[in-house]
Amino acid sequence: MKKTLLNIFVLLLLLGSSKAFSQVTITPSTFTAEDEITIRVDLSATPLAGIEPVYIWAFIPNGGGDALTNGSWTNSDERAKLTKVSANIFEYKLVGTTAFGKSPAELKTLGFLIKSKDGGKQTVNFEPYKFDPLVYVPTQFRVFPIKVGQNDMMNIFMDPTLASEDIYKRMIATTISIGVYDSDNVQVGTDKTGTVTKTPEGFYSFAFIPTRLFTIPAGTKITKVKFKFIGTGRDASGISVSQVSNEGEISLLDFQ
Amino acid sequence: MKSLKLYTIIILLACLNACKPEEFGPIGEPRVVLKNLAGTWTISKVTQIDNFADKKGFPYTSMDITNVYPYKEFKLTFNLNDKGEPSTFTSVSGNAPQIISLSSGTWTTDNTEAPKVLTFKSGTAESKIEMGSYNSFNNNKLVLRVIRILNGIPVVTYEYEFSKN
Repeated sequence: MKKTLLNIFVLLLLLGSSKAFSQVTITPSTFTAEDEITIRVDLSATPLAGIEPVYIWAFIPNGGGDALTNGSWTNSDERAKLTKVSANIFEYKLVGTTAFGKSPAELKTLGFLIKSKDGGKQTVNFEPYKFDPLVYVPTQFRVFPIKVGQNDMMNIFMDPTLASEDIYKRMIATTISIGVYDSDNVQVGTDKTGTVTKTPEGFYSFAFIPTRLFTIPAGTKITKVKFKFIGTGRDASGISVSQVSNEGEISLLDFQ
Repeated sequence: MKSLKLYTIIILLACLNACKPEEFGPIGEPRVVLKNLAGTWTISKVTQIDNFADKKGFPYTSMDITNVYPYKEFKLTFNLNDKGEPSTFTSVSGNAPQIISLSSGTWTTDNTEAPKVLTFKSGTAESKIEMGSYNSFNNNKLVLRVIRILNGIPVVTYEYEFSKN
Protein backbone atom coordinates (compact mmCIF):
# COMPACT_ATOMS: atom_id res chain seq x y z
CA MET A 1 0.00 0.00 0.00
CA LYS A 2 2.83 2.32 1.00
CA LYS A 3 4.63 1.48 -2.26
CA THR A 4 1.49 2.23 -4.28
CA LEU A 5 1.05 5.58 -2.54
CA LEU A 6 4.70 6.36 -3.13
CA ASN A 7 4.34 5.50 -6.83
CA ILE A 8 1.27 7.72 -7.11
CA PHE A 9 3.13 10.52 -5.34
CA VAL A 10 6.13 10.19 -7.68
CA LEU A 11 3.81 10.07 -10.69
CA LEU A 12 1.99 13.20 -9.54
CA LEU A 13 5.32 14.88 -8.90
CA LEU A 14 6.52 14.00 -12.40
CA LEU A 15 3.28 15.18 -13.99
CA GLY A 16 3.38 18.34 -11.93
CA SER A 17 6.96 19.07 -12.82
CA SER A 18 6.36 18.40 -16.50
CA LYS A 19 3.47 20.88 -16.47
CA ALA A 20 5.53 23.38 -14.56
CA PHE A 21 8.57 23.25 -16.81
CA SER A 22 7.25 22.29 -20.23
CA GLN A 23 7.17 25.42 -22.24
CA VAL A 24 4.61 25.79 -24.96
CA THR A 25 4.33 28.71 -27.33
CA ILE A 26 1.78 29.00 -30.09
CA THR A 27 2.32 31.34 -33.03
CA PRO A 28 0.31 33.40 -33.76
CA SER A 29 -0.82 33.95 -30.21
CA THR A 30 -4.42 34.43 -31.31
CA PHE A 31 -5.87 32.33 -34.08
CA THR A 32 -9.05 31.03 -35.62
CA ALA A 33 -9.77 27.42 -36.51
CA GLU A 34 -8.84 28.23 -40.11
CA ASP A 35 -5.41 29.69 -39.31
CA GLU A 36 -2.23 27.67 -39.47
CA ILE A 37 -0.56 27.71 -36.09
CA THR A 38 2.90 26.62 -35.04
CA ILE A 39 3.12 24.86 -31.70
CA ARG A 40 6.60 24.91 -30.19
CA VAL A 41 7.36 22.80 -27.14
CA ASP A 42 10.37 22.53 -24.90
CA LEU A 43 10.43 18.98 -23.56
CA SER A 44 13.64 19.28 -21.58
CA ALA A 45 11.93 19.00 -18.19
CA THR A 46 9.39 16.33 -19.14
CA PRO A 47 9.43 12.53 -19.30
CA LEU A 48 10.14 12.95 -23.03
CA ALA A 49 13.47 14.73 -22.50
CA GLY A 50 16.06 13.27 -24.85
CA ILE A 51 13.49 11.14 -26.67
CA GLU A 52 12.81 11.43 -30.38
CA PRO A 53 10.85 11.26 -32.49
CA VAL A 54 7.91 12.67 -30.58
CA TYR A 55 4.29 12.98 -31.67
CA ILE A 56 1.38 15.26 -30.92
CA TRP A 57 -1.94 13.95 -29.64
CA ALA A 58 -4.36 16.79 -30.37
CA PHE A 59 -7.88 16.89 -29.03
CA ILE A 60 -10.86 19.11 -28.38
CA PRO A 61 -11.09 19.52 -24.59
CA ASN A 62 -14.04 18.12 -22.65
CA GLY A 63 -14.53 15.13 -24.87
CA GLY A 64 -14.98 17.02 -28.11
CA GLY A 65 -12.96 14.50 -30.11
CA ASP A 66 -9.42 13.72 -31.26
CA ALA A 67 -7.49 14.98 -34.27
CA LEU A 68 -7.77 12.88 -37.43
CA THR A 69 -3.99 12.84 -37.66
CA ASN A 70 -3.35 11.34 -34.20
CA GLY A 71 -3.29 7.68 -35.24
CA SER A 72 -3.72 5.22 -32.38
CA TRP A 73 -2.37 5.74 -28.87
CA THR A 74 0.15 2.90 -29.22
CA ASN A 75 1.12 3.78 -32.79
CA SER A 76 1.02 7.49 -33.62
CA ASP A 77 0.42 8.47 -37.21
CA GLU A 78 3.50 9.89 -38.93
CA ARG A 79 1.42 12.99 -39.77
CA ALA A 80 1.48 13.75 -36.03
CA LYS A 81 5.27 13.74 -35.85
CA LEU A 82 6.90 16.92 -34.55
CA THR A 83 9.84 18.55 -36.29
CA LYS A 84 13.00 18.86 -34.24
CA VAL A 85 14.28 22.42 -33.88
CA SER A 86 17.12 21.75 -31.43
CA ALA A 87 17.75 19.50 -28.45
CA ASN A 88 14.37 18.88 -26.76
CA ILE A 89 12.73 21.67 -28.77
CA PHE A 90 10.12 20.58 -31.30
CA GLU A 91 7.55 22.24 -33.53
CA TYR A 92 4.29 21.20 -35.13
CA LYS A 93 2.08 23.04 -37.61
CA LEU A 94 -1.65 22.59 -37.41
CA VAL A 95 -4.85 24.01 -38.89
CA GLY A 96 -7.81 23.31 -36.62
CA THR A 97 -10.43 22.61 -39.29
CA THR A 98 -8.08 20.27 -41.19
CA ALA A 99 -6.73 18.47 -38.15
CA PHE A 100 -10.14 17.72 -36.68
CA GLY A 101 -12.26 17.62 -39.84
CA LYS A 102 -14.74 19.94 -38.17
CA SER A 103 -16.23 23.33 -39.02
CA PRO A 104 -14.93 26.46 -37.25
CA ALA A 105 -18.21 26.67 -35.34
CA GLU A 106 -17.50 23.25 -33.80
CA LEU A 107 -14.01 24.25 -32.70
CA LYS A 108 -13.96 26.45 -29.62
CA THR A 109 -10.81 25.25 -27.89
CA LEU A 110 -7.72 23.15 -28.60
CA GLY A 111 -5.85 20.77 -26.34
CA PHE A 112 -2.86 18.54 -26.93
CA LEU A 113 -0.11 16.52 -25.37
CA ILE A 114 3.19 15.26 -26.69
CA LYS A 115 3.97 11.53 -26.60
CA SER A 116 6.34 8.87 -27.78
CA LYS A 117 5.14 6.89 -30.78
CA ASP A 118 4.09 3.89 -28.67
CA GLY A 119 2.45 6.06 -25.99
CA GLY A 120 4.82 4.78 -23.32
CA LYS A 121 5.82 8.31 -22.37
CA GLN A 122 3.89 11.54 -22.54
CA THR A 123 3.56 15.06 -21.26
CA VAL A 124 0.58 16.38 -19.38
CA ASN A 125 -2.32 17.89 -21.31
CA PHE A 126 -1.81 21.41 -22.58
CA GLU A 127 -5.24 23.00 -22.68
CA PRO A 128 -7.40 24.87 -23.38
CA TYR A 129 -6.14 27.14 -26.14
CA LYS A 130 -8.98 29.24 -27.51
CA PHE A 131 -9.92 29.44 -31.17
CA ASP A 132 -11.15 32.93 -32.10
CA PRO A 133 -14.64 32.91 -33.60
CA LEU A 134 -15.06 33.37 -37.35
CA VAL A 135 -18.54 34.72 -36.95
CA TYR A 136 -19.65 37.47 -34.60
CA VAL A 137 -21.42 36.13 -31.55
CA PRO A 138 -22.99 38.75 -29.25
CA THR A 139 -22.03 38.15 -25.63
CA GLN A 140 -22.65 39.74 -22.26
CA PHE A 141 -19.22 41.40 -22.32
CA ARG A 142 -17.28 42.68 -25.29
CA VAL A 143 -14.30 44.92 -25.74
CA PHE A 144 -13.65 47.38 -28.52
CA PRO A 145 -11.38 46.86 -30.34
CA ILE A 146 -11.25 43.06 -30.18
CA LYS A 147 -7.43 42.97 -30.13
CA VAL A 148 -5.85 45.31 -27.59
CA GLY A 149 -2.49 45.92 -25.95
CA GLN A 150 -1.62 47.60 -22.69
CA ASN A 151 -1.19 51.01 -24.36
CA ASP A 152 -4.43 50.87 -26.31
CA MET A 153 -7.71 52.58 -25.74
CA MET A 154 -10.22 49.90 -24.87
CA ASN A 155 -13.94 50.25 -24.40
CA ILE A 156 -15.55 47.54 -22.28
CA PHE A 157 -19.24 46.94 -22.91
CA MET A 158 -21.81 44.96 -20.97
CA ASP A 159 -25.12 43.90 -22.49
CA PRO A 160 -27.09 42.73 -19.42
CA THR A 161 -29.73 41.04 -21.56
CA LEU A 162 -27.14 38.48 -22.67
CA ALA A 163 -26.07 37.52 -19.14
CA SER A 164 -26.44 33.85 -18.30
CA GLU A 165 -28.27 34.44 -15.02
CA ASP A 166 -31.44 36.41 -14.40
CA ILE A 167 -29.92 38.43 -11.55
CA TYR A 168 -27.43 39.94 -14.01
CA LYS A 169 -30.06 40.46 -16.69
CA ARG A 170 -31.96 42.81 -14.38
CA MET A 171 -28.84 44.76 -13.43
CA ILE A 172 -28.51 48.54 -13.75
CA ALA A 173 -24.77 49.29 -13.77
CA THR A 174 -23.35 52.53 -12.47
CA THR A 175 -19.64 51.82 -12.04
CA ILE A 176 -16.99 49.34 -13.11
CA SER A 177 -14.16 47.88 -11.05
CA ILE A 178 -11.02 47.06 -13.02
CA GLY A 179 -7.81 45.24 -12.10
CA VAL A 180 -4.71 44.57 -14.20
CA TYR A 181 -2.42 41.54 -13.96
CA ASP A 182 1.04 40.54 -15.16
CA SER A 183 2.02 37.35 -16.98
CA ASP A 184 2.26 35.47 -13.66
CA ASN A 185 -1.35 36.44 -12.96
CA VAL A 186 -0.20 38.71 -10.14
CA GLN A 187 -2.28 41.85 -9.76
CA VAL A 188 -0.41 45.07 -10.50
CA GLY A 189 -1.57 47.82 -8.14
CA THR A 190 -5.11 47.80 -6.86
CA ASP A 191 -8.50 47.85 -8.53
CA LYS A 192 -9.68 51.13 -10.03
CA THR A 193 -13.28 52.22 -10.27
CA GLY A 194 -14.84 54.20 -13.09
CA THR A 195 -18.29 55.55 -13.89
CA VAL A 196 -20.00 53.75 -16.74
CA THR A 197 -22.18 55.31 -19.40
CA LYS A 198 -25.26 53.80 -20.98
CA THR A 199 -25.36 53.65 -24.77
CA PRO A 200 -28.57 54.18 -26.78
CA GLU A 201 -28.60 50.41 -27.41
CA GLY A 202 -28.80 49.78 -23.66
CA PHE A 203 -25.18 48.67 -23.19
CA TYR A 204 -23.08 49.86 -20.27
CA SER A 205 -19.58 50.96 -21.23
CA PHE A 206 -16.33 52.31 -19.91
CA ALA A 207 -13.33 53.42 -21.99
CA PHE A 208 -9.74 53.65 -20.76
CA ILE A 209 -6.09 53.01 -21.55
CA PRO A 210 -4.62 50.52 -19.04
CA THR A 211 -1.22 52.20 -18.80
CA ARG A 212 -2.95 55.50 -18.24
CA LEU A 213 -5.53 54.36 -15.69
CA PHE A 214 -2.96 52.38 -13.71
CA THR A 215 0.59 53.20 -12.66
CA ILE A 216 2.64 50.36 -14.08
CA PRO A 217 6.10 49.95 -12.51
CA ALA A 218 9.02 50.18 -14.95
CA GLY A 219 9.83 46.77 -16.40
CA THR A 220 6.38 45.37 -15.66
CA LYS A 221 4.10 44.39 -18.49
CA ILE A 222 0.45 43.77 -17.92
CA THR A 223 -1.12 40.95 -19.87
CA LYS A 224 -4.61 40.75 -18.48
CA VAL A 225 -7.50 43.00 -17.44
CA LYS A 226 -10.25 41.73 -15.17
CA PHE A 227 -13.41 43.70 -14.54
CA LYS A 228 -16.82 43.66 -12.87
CA PHE A 229 -19.73 45.99 -13.35
CA ILE A 230 -21.31 47.32 -10.16
CA GLY A 231 -24.81 48.68 -9.68
CA THR A 232 -28.23 47.62 -8.56
CA GLY A 233 -30.54 44.78 -9.40
CA ARG A 234 -33.86 43.35 -8.33
CA ASP A 235 -34.23 40.31 -6.15
CA ALA A 236 -36.93 37.69 -6.68
CA SER A 237 -39.42 39.93 -4.83
CA GLY A 238 -38.61 42.88 -7.05
CA ILE A 239 -36.80 44.75 -4.30
CA SER A 240 -33.79 46.82 -5.37
CA VAL A 241 -30.51 45.34 -4.14
CA SER A 242 -26.81 46.04 -4.70
CA GLN A 243 -25.51 43.94 -7.54
CA VAL A 244 -22.06 43.04 -8.87
CA SER A 245 -21.82 41.36 -12.25
CA ASN A 246 -19.88 38.22 -12.96
CA GLU A 247 -16.22 38.84 -13.84
CA GLY A 248 -14.98 39.52 -17.33
CA GLU A 249 -11.43 39.15 -18.58
CA ILE A 250 -9.42 40.59 -21.46
CA SER A 251 -6.05 39.28 -22.65
CA LEU A 252 -3.64 41.98 -23.73
CA LEU A 253 -1.47 41.38 -26.76
CA ASP A 254 2.02 42.42 -27.80
CA PHE A 255 1.88 44.47 -30.96
CA GLN A 256 4.77 45.03 -33.36
CA MET B 1 -27.23 56.19 -105.27
CA LYS B 2 -25.18 59.36 -105.78
CA SER B 3 -26.67 60.93 -102.68
CA LEU B 4 -25.83 57.78 -100.65
CA LYS B 5 -22.16 58.17 -101.66
CA LEU B 6 -22.28 61.84 -100.80
CA TYR B 7 -23.74 61.13 -97.36
CA THR B 8 -21.11 58.44 -96.72
CA ILE B 9 -18.31 60.86 -97.59
CA ILE B 10 -19.78 63.54 -95.33
CA ILE B 11 -20.08 61.09 -92.42
CA LEU B 12 -16.50 59.88 -92.93
CA LEU B 13 -15.20 63.44 -93.03
CA ALA B 14 -17.14 64.23 -89.86
CA CYS B 15 -15.66 61.19 -88.13
CA LEU B 16 -12.14 62.08 -89.18
CA ASN B 17 -12.66 65.60 -87.94
CA ALA B 18 -13.83 64.18 -84.58
CA CYS B 19 -10.58 62.25 -84.23
CA LYS B 20 -8.47 65.37 -83.92
CA PRO B 21 -6.28 65.30 -80.84
CA GLU B 22 -8.01 67.12 -78.05
CA GLU B 23 -6.26 69.87 -76.19
CA PHE B 24 -6.43 69.35 -72.44
CA GLY B 25 -6.32 72.33 -70.16
CA PRO B 26 -3.68 72.61 -67.47
CA ILE B 27 -4.22 70.23 -64.52
CA GLY B 28 -2.97 72.80 -62.06
CA GLU B 29 0.15 73.10 -59.97
CA PRO B 30 1.62 69.85 -58.73
CA ARG B 31 0.61 69.33 -55.09
CA VAL B 32 3.44 70.23 -52.78
CA VAL B 33 2.76 67.95 -49.86
CA LEU B 34 5.71 68.98 -47.75
CA LYS B 35 4.81 72.64 -48.08
CA ASN B 36 1.29 71.79 -46.99
CA LEU B 37 2.62 69.83 -44.02
CA ALA B 38 4.76 72.66 -42.71
CA GLY B 39 3.31 74.46 -39.73
CA THR B 40 1.59 73.63 -36.47
CA TRP B 41 -1.31 71.22 -36.30
CA THR B 42 -3.71 70.44 -33.45
CA ILE B 43 -5.77 67.27 -33.11
CA SER B 44 -9.46 67.80 -33.80
CA LYS B 45 -10.71 64.20 -33.96
CA VAL B 46 -9.50 60.70 -33.08
CA THR B 47 -11.06 57.58 -34.50
CA GLN B 48 -10.16 54.07 -33.45
CA ILE B 49 -10.69 51.44 -36.13
CA ASP B 50 -10.92 47.73 -35.41
CA ASN B 51 -9.28 46.27 -38.54
CA PHE B 52 -9.65 42.75 -37.19
CA ALA B 53 -13.43 43.12 -36.82
CA ASP B 54 -13.68 44.90 -40.15
CA LYS B 55 -11.82 42.14 -41.98
CA LYS B 56 -14.13 39.52 -40.53
CA GLY B 57 -17.26 41.51 -41.30
CA PHE B 58 -18.14 41.88 -37.61
CA PRO B 59 -20.21 44.84 -36.39
CA TYR B 60 -18.60 47.62 -34.34
CA THR B 61 -15.62 48.49 -36.51
CA SER B 62 -14.88 52.10 -35.56
CA MET B 63 -15.36 54.45 -32.66
CA ASP B 64 -14.85 58.17 -32.09
CA ILE B 65 -12.61 58.38 -29.02
CA THR B 66 -11.77 62.09 -29.26
CA ASN B 67 -13.29 62.99 -25.92
CA VAL B 68 -12.30 59.98 -23.84
CA TYR B 69 -8.99 61.69 -23.06
CA PRO B 70 -7.92 65.28 -23.88
CA TYR B 71 -6.55 64.38 -27.30
CA LYS B 72 -7.24 67.91 -28.56
CA GLU B 73 -4.32 69.17 -26.46
CA PHE B 74 -1.86 67.42 -28.77
CA LYS B 75 0.02 69.73 -31.16
CA LEU B 76 2.55 68.81 -33.81
CA THR B 77 4.81 71.25 -35.64
CA PHE B 78 6.63 70.38 -38.87
CA ASN B 79 9.48 72.63 -39.94
CA LEU B 80 11.17 72.72 -43.36
CA ASN B 81 14.69 73.92 -44.13
CA ASP B 82 15.58 76.61 -46.67
CA LYS B 83 15.35 74.07 -49.49
CA GLY B 84 11.84 73.10 -48.48
CA GLU B 85 12.98 69.73 -47.09
CA PRO B 86 11.88 68.19 -43.78
CA SER B 87 14.03 69.44 -40.90
CA THR B 88 12.87 69.60 -37.29
CA PHE B 89 9.62 68.90 -35.46
CA THR B 90 8.13 69.48 -32.04
CA SER B 91 5.21 67.76 -30.38
CA VAL B 92 3.33 68.99 -27.36
CA SER B 93 1.12 66.37 -25.72
CA GLY B 94 -0.44 68.34 -22.89
CA ASN B 95 -2.63 65.77 -21.15
CA ALA B 96 -3.32 63.83 -24.34
CA PRO B 97 -2.31 60.16 -24.49
CA GLN B 98 0.98 59.46 -26.21
CA ILE B 99 0.76 59.60 -29.98
CA ILE B 100 4.41 59.82 -30.92
CA SER B 101 6.97 59.04 -28.28
CA LEU B 102 9.27 61.98 -29.10
CA SER B 103 8.78 65.62 -28.20
CA SER B 104 11.34 67.10 -30.59
CA GLY B 105 13.96 66.12 -33.13
CA THR B 106 14.14 65.72 -36.87
CA TRP B 107 11.65 64.27 -39.29
CA THR B 108 11.96 62.64 -42.69
CA THR B 109 9.66 61.10 -45.25
CA ASP B 110 9.84 57.96 -47.36
CA ASN B 111 9.11 60.03 -50.48
CA THR B 112 9.43 63.81 -50.66
CA GLU B 113 6.82 64.22 -53.43
CA ALA B 114 4.30 61.68 -52.22
CA PRO B 115 5.12 60.85 -48.61
CA LYS B 116 3.32 57.92 -47.06
CA VAL B 117 5.35 57.41 -43.91
CA LEU B 118 6.74 60.14 -41.67
CA THR B 119 9.68 59.21 -39.47
CA PHE B 120 10.46 61.21 -36.35
CA LYS B 121 13.93 60.88 -34.83
CA SER B 122 15.63 62.06 -31.70
CA GLY B 123 19.05 60.56 -31.11
CA THR B 124 18.61 56.82 -31.58
CA ALA B 125 14.89 56.91 -30.79
CA GLU B 126 12.54 56.70 -33.73
CA SER B 127 8.81 56.90 -34.22
CA LYS B 128 6.89 56.32 -37.46
CA ILE B 129 3.43 57.46 -38.45
CA GLU B 130 1.48 56.95 -41.65
CA MET B 131 -0.09 59.77 -43.67
CA GLY B 132 -3.73 59.76 -44.69
CA SER B 133 -5.21 61.26 -47.87
CA TYR B 134 -3.64 64.46 -49.20
CA ASN B 135 -7.13 65.71 -50.08
CA SER B 136 -7.57 66.69 -46.43
CA PHE B 137 -5.15 69.58 -47.06
CA ASN B 138 -7.91 71.22 -49.10
CA ASN B 139 -9.79 71.73 -45.84
CA ASN B 140 -6.69 72.63 -43.84
CA LYS B 141 -6.80 69.18 -42.27
CA LEU B 142 -4.09 66.57 -41.88
CA VAL B 143 -4.79 62.89 -41.24
CA LEU B 144 -2.13 60.72 -39.62
CA ARG B 145 -2.51 57.06 -38.77
CA VAL B 146 -0.88 54.80 -36.20
CA ILE B 147 -1.40 51.14 -37.01
CA ARG B 148 -1.02 48.28 -34.56
CA ILE B 149 0.33 45.14 -36.20
CA LEU B 150 -0.10 41.60 -34.88
CA ASN B 151 1.75 38.80 -36.65
CA GLY B 152 2.20 41.01 -39.70
CA ILE B 153 -1.50 41.91 -39.92
CA PRO B 154 -2.99 45.33 -39.05
CA VAL B 155 -5.48 44.84 -36.23
CA VAL B 156 -6.11 48.33 -34.85
CA THR B 157 -5.73 51.76 -36.47
CA TYR B 158 -5.79 55.13 -34.74
CA GLU B 159 -6.76 57.88 -37.18
CA TYR B 160 -5.78 61.33 -35.94
CA GLU B 161 -7.34 64.28 -37.73
CA PHE B 162 -5.47 67.55 -37.21
CA SER B 163 -6.54 71.11 -37.99
CA LYS B 164 -3.95 73.69 -38.99
CA ASN B 165 -3.37 76.41 -36.43
